[in-house]
Amino acid sequence: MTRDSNAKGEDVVHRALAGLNAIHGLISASLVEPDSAHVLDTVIGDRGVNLGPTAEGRTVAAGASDVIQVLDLMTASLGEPDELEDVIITLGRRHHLIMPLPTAGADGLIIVVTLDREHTNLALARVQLRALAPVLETMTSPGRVS
Amino acid sequence: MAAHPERLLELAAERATGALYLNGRWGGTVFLIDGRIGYVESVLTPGVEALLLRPTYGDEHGWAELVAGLRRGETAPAITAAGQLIRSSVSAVDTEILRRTALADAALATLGAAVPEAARTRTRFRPGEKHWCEALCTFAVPDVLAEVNRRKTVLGRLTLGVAPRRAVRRVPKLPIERIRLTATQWNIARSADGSTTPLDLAWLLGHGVFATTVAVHQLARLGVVTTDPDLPESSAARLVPARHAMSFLHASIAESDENLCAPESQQP
Repeated sequence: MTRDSNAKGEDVVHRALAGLNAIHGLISASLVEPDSAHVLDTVIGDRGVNLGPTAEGRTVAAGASDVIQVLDLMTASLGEPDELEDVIITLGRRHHLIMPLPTAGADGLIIVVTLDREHTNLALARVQLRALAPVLETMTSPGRVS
Repeated sequence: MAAHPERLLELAAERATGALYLNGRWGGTVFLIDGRIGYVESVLTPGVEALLLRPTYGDEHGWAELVAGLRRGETAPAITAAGQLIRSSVSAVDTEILRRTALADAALATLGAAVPEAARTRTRFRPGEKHWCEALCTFAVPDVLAEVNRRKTVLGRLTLGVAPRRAVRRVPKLPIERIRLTATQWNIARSADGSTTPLDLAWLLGHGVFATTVAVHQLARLGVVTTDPDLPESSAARLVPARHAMSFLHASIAESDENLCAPESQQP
C-alpha cells in the first residue's frame, strides 16, 4: 500500500525509513512484514525516479519474503544454531539487500533495499544499512512491561 | 469481489471522513479520513490494541481472558490499557507499524469476504467519527483493496487443507529426527490441539490472522501440524512434496495474470 504524504500527524515510520536515503544509488527501501509480504512503508531514493514503486515494490517484497522463508528453513536445518544477518542478491544492474529485524513489529520485519549497481558502493551501503538497522530495530521493537 | 466496495468507493470519491459500519456476518468498520482509509477494524482479527498489549502479558490465562472479551466486542478495557501503553512505554513508530499490520489484517476480513450484495449487507456511515488510535498515515481505497486481493490469492494457494478457520493439531510424532522451530512456530505447535484454528492462534499470539495462517501452512508443510484429525502417524511422516510450497512471489505473479479471479472460499 502506498502512503499518503498529506496525513496529519508526522509519519514517524516513514521518517525512520527515510534515513536510508543517505545511501548512494538507492532505488528504493521498504519495510516489509515477511510473514505476510505486506509492504508497510517505502522510500524512493536518488535512483528511484520513474520506476513505478508500488507494483515493483510489491514484487520485490514478495520475493524477499520468500527468500527469507527459504533461508530460515535452511538455517533451521543446519547443525549449528545460527542467525541470518543479511542477504545480498546481485543482479546485472542492481543489488537487493535484505536485512531481518527479528524483534520489530508483531513478529519481526525485514528491510529490503534496492540499489543501482553503477552508482553504489555495496560495501559502504551495507555498512550504512547495518548502522541504521539497530536504530530501526530499537525504535520498532514492542515495548515490554515485565 | 469484495462485498462493499461501491459504498466505500462513493465515500472515497466524496473525500468523506467518518466510520463506515459494515454489518452482517463478516462485519467490520472502515475509518475514512478525507476519503482515504485510516484504519479498518474487525471483530474477527486482533486490532492494534491487541497487538500492542500482547507483549505485556506474561500470564497466558490473563491474556486468554482479555482475548475472550475482545472477540465478543468488549474492547473498552483493552483500548484504555493500550492508550496508557502508548503514552508511557511504546514508541510512536511501534504503534504505527502495529496499526498498519492490524489494518491490513482487518481489511481482509471486512472487505475480502465473499458476501454477495444480495445478502442485504447493511452499511451505515457515521460522519466525523474517528478511530481511537491516531492515523499517522492513510491509504487509498484501491490500494487497500489490492492488498486484500493479494492476500486472497495467497490464501487460495495454500495446500494441505490449511485455512484461517480450519482447526489444526500437532502431529503425535515428528516426521524427521530433528527440527528447529522459531519461537512463533513453537508457540503455534504448542497450542495446536485439534480445536484451535489459525484465527484462534493469531489471537493467542497477538499476530495477524493472515500471517499466522501462512505460518501454520509452513508448519503443515514441515509435518509438524496437520488439519486432518484422523491422519495416521505414518502418513504424517511422509516428506514434504515440493508442490505444497507457498510462494508470495508466485501468488503475486499469478494474481496479476488472473486479475480478479481470486478465490472466494477461504476467508477468515
